[in-house]
Amino acid sequence: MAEDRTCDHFSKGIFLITVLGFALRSYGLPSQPLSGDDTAVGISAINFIERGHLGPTMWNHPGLRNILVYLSMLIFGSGVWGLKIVSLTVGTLSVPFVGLIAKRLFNHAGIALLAAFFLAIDPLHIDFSRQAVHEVYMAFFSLAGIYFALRYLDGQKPYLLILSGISFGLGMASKWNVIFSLITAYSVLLYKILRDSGFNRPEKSIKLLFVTSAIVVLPVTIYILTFIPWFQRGYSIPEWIFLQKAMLLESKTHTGYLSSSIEFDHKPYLWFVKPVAFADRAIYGKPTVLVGISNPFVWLLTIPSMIYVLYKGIDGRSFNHYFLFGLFLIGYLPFLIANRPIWAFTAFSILPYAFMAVAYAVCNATKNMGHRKTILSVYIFLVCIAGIPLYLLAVGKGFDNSYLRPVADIYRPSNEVLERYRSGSEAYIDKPSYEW
Amino acid sequence: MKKNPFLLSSIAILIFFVCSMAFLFYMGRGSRIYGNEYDISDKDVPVLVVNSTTDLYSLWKKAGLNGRIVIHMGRYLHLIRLSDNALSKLVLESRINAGNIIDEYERALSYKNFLRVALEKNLARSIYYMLPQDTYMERYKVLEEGDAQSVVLHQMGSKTVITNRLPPLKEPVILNIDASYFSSSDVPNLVSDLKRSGLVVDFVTFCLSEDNPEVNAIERERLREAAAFFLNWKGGVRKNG
Repeated sequence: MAEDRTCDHFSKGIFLITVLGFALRSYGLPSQPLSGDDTAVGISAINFIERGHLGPTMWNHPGLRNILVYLSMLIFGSGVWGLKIVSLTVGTLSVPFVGLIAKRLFNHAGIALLAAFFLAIDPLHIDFSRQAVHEVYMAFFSLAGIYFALRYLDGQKPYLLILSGISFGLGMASKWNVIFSLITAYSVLLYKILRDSGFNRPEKSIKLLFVTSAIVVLPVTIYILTFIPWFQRGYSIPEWIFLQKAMLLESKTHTGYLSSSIEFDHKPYLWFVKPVAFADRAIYGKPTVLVGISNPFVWLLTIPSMIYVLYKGIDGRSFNHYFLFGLFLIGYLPFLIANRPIWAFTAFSILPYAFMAVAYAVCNATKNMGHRKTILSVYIFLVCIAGIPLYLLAVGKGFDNSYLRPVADIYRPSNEVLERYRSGSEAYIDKPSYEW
Repeated sequence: MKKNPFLLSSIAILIFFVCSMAFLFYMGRGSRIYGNEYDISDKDVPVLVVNSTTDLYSLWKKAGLNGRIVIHMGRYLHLIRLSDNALSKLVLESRINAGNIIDEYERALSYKNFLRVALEKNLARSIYYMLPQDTYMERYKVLEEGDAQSVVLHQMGSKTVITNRLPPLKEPVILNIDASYFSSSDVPNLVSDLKRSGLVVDFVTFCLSEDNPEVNAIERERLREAAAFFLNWKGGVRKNG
């Protein structure tokens, strides 16, 4: 009975937090001017589905965004809703997944709800949930893949792992970063099978075959199938492999589409060390700057929280703690060693795990403290207070507020640059010209 | 024998994978539109002389090409892109669709971009550029990728290759020889190279590039000589445009 009540409270709590997340992401969206990226995504979606061409924007990323945005444009038109409803939806739905996974790992409703709350109000995630680009897709599909894999570990029902494989496949078809969550999940599943003494050899072989089929073969198949429009131009599988190499080369050497991008935070080792930001300029309509800045009261607790999670994992020999730590580390390391600028929004691939760790650390570390409720309340209050101005900046209201205007001004393009945007002659990073 | 759901699921997934690969293979092949195929040394291969690059584009379009590999022999790439503003306008006016995008490209068609437009319209899915030797060596100093024999570009998913020799392709191609190729080329050697190439083509075009101010009268005259040389080797020339 007590357990039922707890589940009920958790369900209600996660529902309310999800509604909050949706409200913050959708407030004022129709009146937010479109950015260059938004229109470029619309063009890219049409280009890809109707003509099999990649680009003009982010051609080095796989095409799931193009497919989903095209479908939404068919339903809602090429305005704000058609372009952005996919990001809005997956950005919102990432919130309950964070809660569900945290609940599964720590079996604690409070930790789960706090982790979900962190994502619901995160300014950077809100900013990108309001844009047509696909940055919030990676968190959603990674979380879905991990969630179904965990459910499979609990119940050993094949359909759950198939759902996990489909999620990872769709995730990789939006951005390759999802592969790190897939590798972590696959490693854990293999480990569990090999260590399980309850299976005989043939049973183990079948299980290994199934896990590999569901978590490797199935995602790869889904990934390749998202290139169907491109294949319709007459291409072959060897040419597709060439395309992947070209995409990889571009991803490894990409330094931004605009010369000003390099001014934004682009060093991953600083993501959880200082507040980081990314800004987009919405130029179609009233000039607006969308500034996404990380909430310092959450982000800056990530590293100590992760160390705490690891410590508790070793102390309690807890698989769940190791798993969370592994998801974060395996997802973060490649960015730390990458040799090119990587902007703050790329952190979305590991941010959910960071938030789970912070929620766990905050709740667990204060467990035996006096005035625990007061301490937690003050902390959450600080998170919310910091979040208010950051939210206004993220939704482009910085210029409307006299206190925030100096911050928004830092990211505002000059009138000269605005004119160049409008005329289409904004300076691109100087690369050798291959078009003569 | 008791059915094992894990084994059945694994088999189903593997079958799905194999069927998907087969589907993609046949879909890709099926999308290409070929005409009659001729070995390039065949005396019956159609040979056409075209006045301008825009006429050449019209010819390819009229021939109903789709998803083909084009070999373009000339000094220039003709790949200048349309400005993103032209396409952004379509989004803002809610007129964004494949037809309107192609219309924008074709409205801007010129000698500077006719091969770009051919890629955008998917008349060509890949382009192989054969540059004159001196141009290739001059440009190679600028370009960073590739080895000494070719430079491979990816043009947002449409493979283009820049080289100074004919590519050994087995698939039937569309071959165009532009007047700009003849800045310093030897006509008899060019024809014998083509004869030895083993290429399979639908037709061969010689383009005078009268719309390209960078091409001079001497180069056009050499093109006419090359066409005549080719013609003597192959059969009658039909002027087009």
